Parts: sequence; structure tokens; C-alpha cells
Amino acid sequence: MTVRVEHIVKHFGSSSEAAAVADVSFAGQPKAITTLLGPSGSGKSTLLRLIAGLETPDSGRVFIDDQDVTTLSPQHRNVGFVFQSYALFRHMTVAENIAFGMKIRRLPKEQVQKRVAELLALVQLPEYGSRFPAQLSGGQRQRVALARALAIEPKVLLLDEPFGALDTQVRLELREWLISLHEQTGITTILVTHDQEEALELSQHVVLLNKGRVAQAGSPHDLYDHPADEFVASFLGGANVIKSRVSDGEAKVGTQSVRAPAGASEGTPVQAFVRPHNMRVRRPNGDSPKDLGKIERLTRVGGYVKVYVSLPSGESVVVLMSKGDLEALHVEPGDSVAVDVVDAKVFVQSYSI
Amino acid sequence: MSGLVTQRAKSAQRRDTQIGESVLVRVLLITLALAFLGIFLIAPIVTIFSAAFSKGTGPYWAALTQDDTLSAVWLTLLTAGIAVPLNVVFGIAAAWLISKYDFWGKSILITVVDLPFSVSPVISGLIFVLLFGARGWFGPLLSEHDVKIIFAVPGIVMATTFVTFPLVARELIAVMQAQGSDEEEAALTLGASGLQILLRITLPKVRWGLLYGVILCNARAMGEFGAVSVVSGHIRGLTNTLPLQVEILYNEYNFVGAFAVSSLLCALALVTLCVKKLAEWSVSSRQAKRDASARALAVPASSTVSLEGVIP
Repeated sequence: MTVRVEHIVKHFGSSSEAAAVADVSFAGQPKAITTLLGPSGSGKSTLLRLIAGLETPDSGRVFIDDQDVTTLSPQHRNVGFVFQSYALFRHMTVAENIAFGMKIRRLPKEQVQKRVAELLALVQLPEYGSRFPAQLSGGQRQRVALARALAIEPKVLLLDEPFGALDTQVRLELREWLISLHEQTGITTILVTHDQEEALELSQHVVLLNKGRVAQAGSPHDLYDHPADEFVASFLGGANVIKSRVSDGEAKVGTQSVRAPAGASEGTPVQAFVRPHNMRVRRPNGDSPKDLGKIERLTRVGGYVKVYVSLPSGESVVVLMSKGDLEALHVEPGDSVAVDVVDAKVFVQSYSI
Repeated sequence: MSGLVTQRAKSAQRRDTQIGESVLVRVLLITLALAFLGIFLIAPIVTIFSAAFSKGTGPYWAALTQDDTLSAVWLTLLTAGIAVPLNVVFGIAAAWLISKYDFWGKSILITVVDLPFSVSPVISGLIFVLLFGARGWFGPLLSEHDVKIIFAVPGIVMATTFVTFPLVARELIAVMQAQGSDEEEAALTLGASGLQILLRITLPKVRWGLLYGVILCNARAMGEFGAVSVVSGHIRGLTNTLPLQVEILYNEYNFVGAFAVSSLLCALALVTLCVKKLAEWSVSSRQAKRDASARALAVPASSTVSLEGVIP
């Protein structure tokens, strides 16, 4: 049960426009959840629709189970597709919705009924078979959509922003539920999302897309801890960007110097990406005054405090500190503080604007 | 309590003075509206029936059961019976194409679909005379093979089909575009063929829009005068539809006959409107029922979403 795409290219409209998907290759991990992550317009949904056959690639190949399905109609690909908009058949009951794919396959009636009951139990809606979609909440509808997709025993399950239209509480619940559902079924799943938290929590393998290309693929930790470029670093987890220049093989970031990228010559402009929780503010302690920043604002977020600091270079950074740590410092907006960097990723600044 | 009541009364009063006009203006406006309604809608209908029955039920019945009238009824039903199903098929095809696919020339096609509405019915009739008449493009070819279209039933059916074409298509295009293609795509990934999707997903989804379009199309097909008048040739008992029959009888000063046939058309229109109203009412009551039960479910629904550890 594997999914593989090779050198997929897809344009919409005239071919002079930028490609929606530009030469993407990746492989979904068998029996695992692979996430296609990216900002809107990165081509992730298009890629998923290409795998399902709902779009036709300009070039490239799609393989499901090592079989080339590039020219196969979606009707015969046997994939389960779940839409952000649920796409339940509004004139059919929940049970009829789930039974649809099996009826198309002309399975015997008793078998269909039995399987519908099983699936209703699996998605925890056993009493809801005779309801119409309009009578269900958003979370319930999406679970019915999942049951309908699973009913055809698909080779792969494709989820297109399945929780995108739901409110936060339901989204978090469904996320956990999806993990346990996946543990039960073990079906190869590809999930499209723009929500990095969802990606990091749900999947063991993330393909991060940007402007129709793969920016980086790997385990969530890999992407987070070892971003391949500026886009990955800034998209995942949110990061402060601090500009600097290489001097003596090092770049100044806050009050500290970090090692510059290998091969960066003296004076090269660089960008340091620092996660908010990888910075600390402290009271000045023999630091040169030109290295000190000024606290502009403190915003409490649960047990943490966001400290907005303006650096001497004029750049603003956000530092995330626990409430206790910050209270021990006795600082207030307007105070001068030193900013320490625990961990930073430094990239040679690209010349694109 | 009493304070609340006076407050309400006050706010009601304030609302009156804010939104309402003075009593005189209100009476004037309502009278005007009623007079307009009476003169332009009620009076004509009353006139039709009173003129039709002016000499009693005997002459009325005699006028209706005249051979020419009966054949006009038959021709009208035949025409609608052919034109409406044709337009249902064409309308579904056109709406499906326009709402589900993107292609070059789509906007041109949408304009062409609307063409019969924007052209005067007389012109619509003339188009067919110019195409199939004795001196028309296909005239010589047709007379060679002894096929009669103009001044015969085929011409009437064609002109009616042309004039009523947009009614089903427009109705369906609006509904289909509003509903999107997600459900069709879902059915496709579930293994349904194009025909299965059309029959099991798309048509059930648009059935009320389709019914509405069919009703309007039927009403227009039975009542069409201009285009049919041009192509019919007014041959009594052969190429007269009900509206043409009315005109002929009226021109012959046979007022009872003219109004009797008119009353028949009028009754058809009223029945059509009733069916339309029923369809609308059925849709809205179903919608209301769904909304109500969805509301009723809202509270238990949120409690059933708790998921932790329920999976065996």
C-alpha cells in the first residue's frame, strides 16, 4: 500500500503562469500518515487531487501500490478521498452515504448492511444511520465522510484539509480520534493541511511544499530542528529573523555570536532564524550597552509570557519565557535587557526580496 | 411588570413613527397597490370567466367541444409534450456542461442559451420560416422529399422548443453552480461512472430546480403565441394551437368561444402556478424541518463528540 509521485508538473490556465505543482516527487510511507504541509497556494491540495485522479498532470507519473495509475480514471483508482467541505450526498441518509461505494460495487445487500453498521460504530455514530447530513454537526459530518471513504476498502486514504472547516475544540478532538482510527485500520494515509501543529502531531513523515515545489521532506523533528532553508525555518514553528553580517566566521545574533554557515566569506549578509523559546532575556551583566535591547511589551499566553524586545539594530523579536522565569527577573516594559540565544539557524541571505 | 409593558408599548409606538408613514399616506399607498392589482390582474381573469359564461354553461360547453377547439387542445398538448421533454434533455446537458466543466467558448455558450429569451418571439418564428420555408435554405431539399415543416406540426414544435429552451437550462445552471461539484467528485472517487453520478447524485440534487424549470417551460410552451403564429399558417383543425384558436375565434366575433378557450388556457396557467407553489412549499417545509431537527440536535450533538477512549 504505497503512494509515489514522480516529477509531477501541473499548470492551471495558460502555461506561462507559474505551475501549481512544479516537478514534485515524493513517496508516502506505507501504513503511515504522510502530511503534505504548506501555505495556501503551495500546490498541496492540487497534488492530492492529482493522486486521486481528480486532476490530470501535465507530466510526471503517479503510482499506487507500484502500479502506474497516471492515466487511470479516479473511478478505478480505489482511493478514499475526504473533502474539507465533507461533500456528503445531501439527499441520502448517513447510512446511504456510507453504503454508496459498496452499492456501486454491487456487493450483496446483507454484506453492505453489516459493513455500514461496523463503520458507523467505528466513527462512533451508531445511532445516526437514518439521519440526513444536514442534521449533523460539522465534526459528525466529517466522520461520516471518513466512514464513506473507508467503506470501499481503499488502497490509500487521501484527506484534503479534513478539519479545516471545524472549530478548534472539535478539531483537536478529531485529531486524536484520527490517530486512534489510523492505529486501528493501518491504512496508508496522505493528509493535506496548512496547520503545522496538525502535521507535526498527526504524522511521522512531513512533505513541506512551497510554491509548487518540495521545500523539505522528512520526520517532523528533522524539519523543525534542521530546516533546509529560510522558508522551512520560518514556516515551521514561527521564528524571529535577525539580520547580520559575517565577521571572523561568526555572526552576531542578539548579545551572542553564532557560527556562520560554512563557506560564507567575511561581510556576507546572513539571516539567523531563532525560535521564540530558544531566546532568553536577562538583566544586563557587564554587556556593552550597544548590544542591549529594550522591552516593548509583555503579553501573557497561558503559563507563558511573550516578551517583545527591540534590538539595537532596530529589529523586533519575540521571546517566549515561562511566567516564573520572567517574574524572577523583575523587568518591565522600557527596561534594557540582554538577549541570549540558545539555538539559532543561520542562512546566507538570499537576494530575493 | 407594568413598567415592562409600557416600555414595550412605547417602543412599539416609536417603531411606528420611525418606519411608518402617516395614516393618510398609508391608506393611499395601499389603495393604489390594490387598485393596480385589481385592474391588471384580478379584473382580466374575472372578465375571461364572466365573458366565457355570459350565455350560460351550454354555449360555453359547446364552444369547448367544437372539433376545431378540440384539435387545438390536442395540438397544444402534443407540442408541449414534445417540447418540454426535449428541453429537459437539452437543458440538463447544457447545464451539466456549463456548470461542471471549463472550456473555451463557455461564455459564448451561456449567451447562446439565453438567446431565445432576448429575441422577439416573432423573430424566433421567422428564423424557422427562413430556414425551412418554401424559399428558405432547406426549402428546395424539403419539398423534393415531400417533407413539410413550416405551416405544419413539426414547425410549431420546433418554434416552441426554441422559444422555451432557456427555461430549464437557466434554472438548472443556477442551481448546479450554487451546489458545486464536490459531491460528484466524491462519487467519482467512490467508483461511480458518469451515468451513475448523473442519475444518483446530480439529478436528485437538482430535482426541485428541474421541476421548477419544467413547470415554467410547460406554461410557456402551451401559451406561446408569437413564434407559433408565424410558422403555423393558421389552418383550422390542423395547425392551430390554443392561443391561435383564441385569436381566430375573437376575430370572428365569437366572443363566447374565444373566452371559453381563454378560460381553458387560464385554468392551465393557474394549475401550473399551483403546482409551482406546491413545489416551493414542499422545498421550504423540508428545509424548515431539517433546520428544526438540526437545532434540536445541536445540544446532544456537542455532547456526543467527546471521543476519548471510546474506540474498543
